[in-house]
Amino acid sequence: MKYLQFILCVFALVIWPLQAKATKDILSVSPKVCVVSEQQDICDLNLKFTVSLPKKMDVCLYEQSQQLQCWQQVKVASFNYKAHVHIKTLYSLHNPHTDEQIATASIDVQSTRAKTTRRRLRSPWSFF
Amino acid sequence: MSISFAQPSEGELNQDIAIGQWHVSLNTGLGIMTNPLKGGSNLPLVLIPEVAYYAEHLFFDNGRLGYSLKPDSPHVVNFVSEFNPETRFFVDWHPANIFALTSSNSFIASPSVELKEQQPKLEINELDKRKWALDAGLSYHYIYEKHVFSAQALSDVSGVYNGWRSALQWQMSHRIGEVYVKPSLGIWYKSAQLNDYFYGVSKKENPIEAIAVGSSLQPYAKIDARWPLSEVNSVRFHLAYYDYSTSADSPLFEKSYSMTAFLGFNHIF
Repeated sequence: MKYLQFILCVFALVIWPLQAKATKDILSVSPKVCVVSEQQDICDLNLKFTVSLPKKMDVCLYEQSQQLQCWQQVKVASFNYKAHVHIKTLYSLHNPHTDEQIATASIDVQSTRAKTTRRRLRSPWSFF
Repeated sequence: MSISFAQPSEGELNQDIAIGQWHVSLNTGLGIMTNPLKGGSNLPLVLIPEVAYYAEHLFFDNGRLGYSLKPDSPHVVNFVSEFNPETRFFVDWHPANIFALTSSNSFIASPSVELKEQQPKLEINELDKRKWALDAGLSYHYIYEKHVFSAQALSDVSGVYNGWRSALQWQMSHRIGEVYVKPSLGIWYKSAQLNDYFYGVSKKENPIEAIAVGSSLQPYAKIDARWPLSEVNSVRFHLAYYDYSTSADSPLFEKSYSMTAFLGFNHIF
């Protein structure tokens, strides 16, 4: 029984990253990072999405919860989109009939200016 | 690395602190922390230094060393370590101590002695020394607008009492006119091992019988106020109440609470 558990664990550890990689390749976006000078700045990006499905199917592309584009019986597609983002933004591919999430991709927003403050986490009078 | 001249500002209301700088200030005034233990002297509060340093993830804040996983998130998880403050009631605070000056006079009248007849008459200066213990653990802060909800759990990593403690706290930062007010409500859970080490009695200390205290819940309420006078000077007021009524089984307790009160000036260096 111990050996069975061990083998299952090894199997899961090997298979899970492979599946994750396969899912990731279905949807890709370029560029993946936008650099702004200030933390709150808006990022204007010309994004290029590439969809590569294992078989023909109906899919829709979403920016967070907003629908951007749908395709019918598509296997490979590309899509250009002008995005305005100021935080890390998630893009996802869904099956419109079942609402199943098929793949995700994200773009990150990074600031060139180092953060100068952070939240204080202790009351100065904690000892007393 | 530099010494800051932190300014009271809107940042103070949302508890922001500049990173990469030492924040050093000194409170000077009159105050007291009452000692609930028999034979324990109250601690007059005259000079109270504050020292804090925050880096992007690491921080040191008045005795607590920590590492924050996501400092900018509203959900901040930290690894933390600090000396267990329980020992403060067993220390005979000497004038040389940098945290406070002591005197033989209390600022309040001596508490009435209500000894339980079945309990031995023990005073803390007759007991073995309670050592300083180093605790380490996790703290979690959820920040919602002016409110901070926090939970923490720390255990003894120095092998002194071999127990643990945890707390839940709500704190709010509010501005009334020019005064910044910060009320807090919370509750500590302290394990049986912690209470037995600090507030129990060993067979060696009392040959008749050893006394165990068991775990306890200790609610507390605090209010901290700051009235800025200039960029570096402000008036400080602090009032705190810690309830020890669930530790009343300990023969060491004379009062079921400890109070801290302070009024003075704060100068930022």
